[in-house]
This record gives sequence, structure tokens and C-alpha cells, in this order.
Amino acid sequence: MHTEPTRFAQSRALFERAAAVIPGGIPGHTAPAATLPGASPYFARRAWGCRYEDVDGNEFLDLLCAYGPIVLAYDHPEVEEAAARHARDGNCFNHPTPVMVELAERLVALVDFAAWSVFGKNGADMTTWALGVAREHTGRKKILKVEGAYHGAHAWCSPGHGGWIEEDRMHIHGFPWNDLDAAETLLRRHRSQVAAVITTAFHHPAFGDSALPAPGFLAGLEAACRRDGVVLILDDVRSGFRLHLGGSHRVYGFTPDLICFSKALGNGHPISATLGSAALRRAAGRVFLTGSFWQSAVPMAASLACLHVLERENVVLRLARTGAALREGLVAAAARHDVPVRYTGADAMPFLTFVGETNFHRSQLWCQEMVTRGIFVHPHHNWFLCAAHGPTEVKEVLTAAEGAFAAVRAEFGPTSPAPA
Amino acid sequence: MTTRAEITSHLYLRAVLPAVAELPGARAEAREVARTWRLPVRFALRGGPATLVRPPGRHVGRDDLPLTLWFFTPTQVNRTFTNQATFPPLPLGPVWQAAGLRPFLALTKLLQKTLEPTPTEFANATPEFLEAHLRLTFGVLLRALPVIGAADGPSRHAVVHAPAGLLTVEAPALALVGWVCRDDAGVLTSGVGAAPSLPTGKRPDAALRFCDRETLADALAGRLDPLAGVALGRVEVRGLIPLADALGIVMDRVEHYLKPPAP
Repeated sequence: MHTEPTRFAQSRALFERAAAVIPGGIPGHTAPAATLPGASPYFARRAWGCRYEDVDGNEFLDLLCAYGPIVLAYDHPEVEEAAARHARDGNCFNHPTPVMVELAERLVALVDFAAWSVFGKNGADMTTWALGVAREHTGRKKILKVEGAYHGAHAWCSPGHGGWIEEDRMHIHGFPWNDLDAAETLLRRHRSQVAAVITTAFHHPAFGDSALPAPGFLAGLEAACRRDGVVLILDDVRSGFRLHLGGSHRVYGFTPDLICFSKALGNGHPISATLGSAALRRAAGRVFLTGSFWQSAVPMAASLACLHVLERENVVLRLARTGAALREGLVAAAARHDVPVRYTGADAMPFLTFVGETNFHRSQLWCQEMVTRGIFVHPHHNWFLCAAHGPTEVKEVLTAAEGAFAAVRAEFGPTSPAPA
Repeated sequence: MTTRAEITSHLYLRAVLPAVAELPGARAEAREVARTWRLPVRFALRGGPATLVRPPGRHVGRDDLPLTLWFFTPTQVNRTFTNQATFPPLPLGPVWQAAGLRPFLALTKLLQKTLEPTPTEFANATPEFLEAHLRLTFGVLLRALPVIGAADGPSRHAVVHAPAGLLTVEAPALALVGWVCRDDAGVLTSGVGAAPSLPTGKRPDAALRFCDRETLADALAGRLDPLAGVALGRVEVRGLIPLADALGIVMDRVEHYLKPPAP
């Protein structure tokens, strides 16, 4: 793999400044170390549609969409106009504004089982609060989650190694995705102690293939929860509003008690939400919930506009169609070059790895070649499509992919039946 | 092996002590001393590991019985290695050859100076000394990883949750190569040199490369911000990032037991 110091010179210079005053320079999921260090941009300058420009003036067709928040388009005119209109009156007050009530009403109307809604800023605000609601409602402590699933960076669930202690996780127990038996075994082992099961709608771990739910898995999880009086929490932070406007559970045939949204909820404006059933309203009212900016008006106005556009333009369907075309094209292109791929996850949130490889060498080269050709993709994290991706963009991606697959073939050779 | 003293004693015996045999290859002063070193020496801890150190380049035959220095407690090992007052180890074996310990003991003193120079010694160090320091510290670190990975709490957690695979470590500026393997059972093995399990032409699952001497020095001294180092191209990491990340945690934890010297 080669680095491109000239192409990303400004990114590098800015990073050197950052590293002097910020631990790690750029921490978290956007850390260069987690993507393509030296071979992709580190800082963005502006974005529009499904494209963005980095600080070196390089332009990219974006298949990450800011890691999910951009579901319509960068700088979507209706969303930004709604935000700007509200910003003229102000954003952060001593009180919430009427738009909070409007947004709560809208979301409750959209999500079939929901009777109430609360708001925050990030997904982890909501997943962590949801655990608290489950514990308050049941009087129990234990939480079951899927091994490898990401629910945020709080101590109970952070994928990082530092800053948490054993006691933060002593009541958190994991089971493998799609293994209903393992989940039920845990429920039996900790009978009357489990407050909640938290799951995503489909499995999208970092550094691993995505996996859709096996038939009966999520419905079985729901049934087990109902039987044992356990709260079922759907973490729809990543998949929310990309698979179904009313929550991803509608796609996979189950009903949670709580659902958490963020990312696409505001098309880039910082907002998250948890919605819950009537039965949990009382417990929800007893779990303290607040943050300095959690009732800010501008993101809520943006969110209302975003939801309006999502529904009017049937964005979910558009994402599915675009995603299917992308999948078909990429899988076929890889096969033509004898470097077959695994293309996993929902079409609106796909992830690509190479058959026979679990160490990402080919993925890293392929993604770097795509970035060189102006397409931003990620070797270790699922991608996201937005409404601004259409047939023209798919064609552009596939054109770049031809060269990228050829490069993988040239470096690694064709994938043999017993791959290296 | 659960206490800090136990873990530290295992590190001294399994990671640090073998460096005595590497020292003549790294420092001219050590080569002179090693000329007269004939006696293999074995350090053994009751209920713990035993490490045999042989004079380099010397074939050890049946008649070359090692002199065993028997330690009763981890604390005794630790205090011996840090020059603190403690009762001496019990010599076992050909004790009539104890005089042959002299060059070995001289080498251990030189090793300590090489691994743990004072700030003044660092400041006045020759290029040969600095290279020897880095080379030997690299070897100590690699040998320490299986010990820490098995015994230290945070390291065990990192290793358990890491994927299996082979990581190679390179520092081309010093022609240094090493490897660490996490097997399917979560056990770490490691070594200096080319990985024995890697066939020619096959890539390791992950590759870690320190791009220059200064970066290696910063990393070994715990001064390197890993995220920044990777982003700035001072360290290259390719392949199975979660494995490299987990082993990075284990590498970081070594200094909880063997503190690197301040430059």
C-alpha cells in the first residue's frame, strides 16, 4: 500500500497541529489509524449532495455519508432552510421550543409501538439512557447484548480498552448474533435478573462482515423477552430511517419496547431520540435525562424537515434500489477480476470484504485505490448510502471499482479455492 | 501468576535475562567480557520459570552443566534484578565452577546499564550505545508480551477479544524484525527474527513497522502517541488492525512492570 503525502499535504499539516493539542490528533471513529492512514484525507472542508471536498481540494464521491448522519444529502436545501429559519430566532434557550413537541408528535406517529419520545444529542446518550429505563422498569440489573455490537463509547459498551473497569461491565453479558439458543441460555442462567436485551436490527460490527438476522431470530428474541419480563431495546442508531421510516423492526418482523435513533434523524444535525411503549412511560419519567444542548431547537427543526423529505420522496425505497444496483455491479466486477467479494448487510448500508480473507489486506488496498480514484469508502466499517446517490453515482463507483479490483488482482493474484 | 511481584519476576526471568546472551552481539565492550564466559547459568524460581543463559556461539555439551541459581520468591528475583538488598539465590549444580560466574555477572551489570541508562548516560550516548539499547529493549519487549498477555488483567482482556493471527514487527532502520502470534486459544508466542510459521511469500495477518530510529525509541520509551504516530506515517500498521491494536495494549502494559528509563 502506498501513501500519498502530496495529495493530502494540508490534511497532514493540520493533523500535526492537532496532534499537539488533541490526544491522538483525531480520536474516535474518524481517527486516520482506523481507516487508510496516509492514503485518505484527514480533514474535510465542505460537502454537497453525496460529495465532499477535503482541505487539500480533493473531491470525493462519499459512500460513508459522515458515518451515517447524511441520509438525504449534504447541505440539503429544505433541511438547511428549516434549520436556518429557526436559527434566526435562536437555538439554545432556557427552555425547549415548540419544535420539540412537534418532533415528538411526529416521531410517535411514525413508530407503531411508540407512545412517547425523548431527545438527546448522540446515539450513546440514548442507548445508555434506555438501559436505565429498562432497569428502572424491571428493578433488575443485567443487560444482554450481542457480542461485537456497537452501542456507543460509554463505559458499559466502549470498544476501546482504556478508561473502564470490570465493575462497569459486570452486569453486561454477550451472546453471538443470530444465536437464539445462546441468548435464551443467558436468560435462563440469569432468570429474573435481566433488565434488557439490546440489539441492532442487523449485525454491523466494525472489522467484520455484516449479517442480516436469521429467520426467527429477532422474533424469537422478542418472545423470550416477553416471557421473562425483559425489556427489548432496538438500537436503530445506525440503520434508522434507511431501512424503514417507522423503525427497522418493521422490516424484520418484531416489536421492541424501546427504540433509539440518531445519525439520519437530523441529516447531519446533532440529535438523537428514544421512543418507547406506553408501559415504559412511567419508568422513563423517573430516569433523569438532560444535557446542555439536548433541547436545542435548530437540530429539531432540521429533523422535522428531514422526516418530511424522507416520507415525501420515499427515500427508503430509493436507497434500496440504488443499493441493489451498487451491490450487483460491485459483486460482478469483483468476479470478473477473479477476486470475489463478500457483500454483506442491508443494501442501504453495505460492507465489502474479500472472499477468503479475514485480515483486510485486500480490503485496505481496494479502498485505497478507490480513494485514489475519488470514491471514499472504508475497509473496516459499513458504508451508508443517501438519497443523493443515483444511477450516475453508481456508474461512477463501478468505473472506479474496475481499476481498484484490477489493482487487488495485480497485488494478490486471483482468489484460489484455498485462499491465502 | 497473579500478583504484580510474580508477573514482574517472570518478566525478569523470561524477557530480560535472555538479553545477557544478546549483549555481546550488540556492544563491543560486552564482546570483550564474553570472551572468558564459559559457564552456562540457569535462573530458576520456585514454582515459576527457569531460564538458561548460554555463552553465545558456544556449543554446550554434556559436560557443560549449568550452574543453577535458585530463587525462592518472586520478590527475591525482583530485588536481585534491581540491585536491592536481598538474600542471595541458592547455587545448585557445579558450584565448584562458581568463579566462572564472574564474566556473567559483569555482563549482567553491563546489560543493566544498556537497558536502563541514566538521563546523563542517554544524553552522552554514542550511536553504538543507542543502537544497542534499542536492539536489546526491542527483544525484551517482544519476549515480555506472552508473559503480560497471559497474566496482566487488561492485557488478558485485550488478547481474549482479539482475533487470532500473526503480527510481524519491523524497524528497518536497525534491521530489526520480530513477531507475535495469538493462537486460537488466546495464547501469545513471540520472538525476534523472522516468524517461523510464515511461509516465504505469505503475508502476516498484521504488520507493524516503525519507520525510523527515533520512532522506535519513542515507542519503546512509552513516548509515542500511537494514533498520531500512525496518522503521521511514523508507524505503519497494515492488515488485521484489531490484532495490532490488542497487541499494542499489551505492549503498553509492559511498562506497568518494567518502567522504561527516562531519556
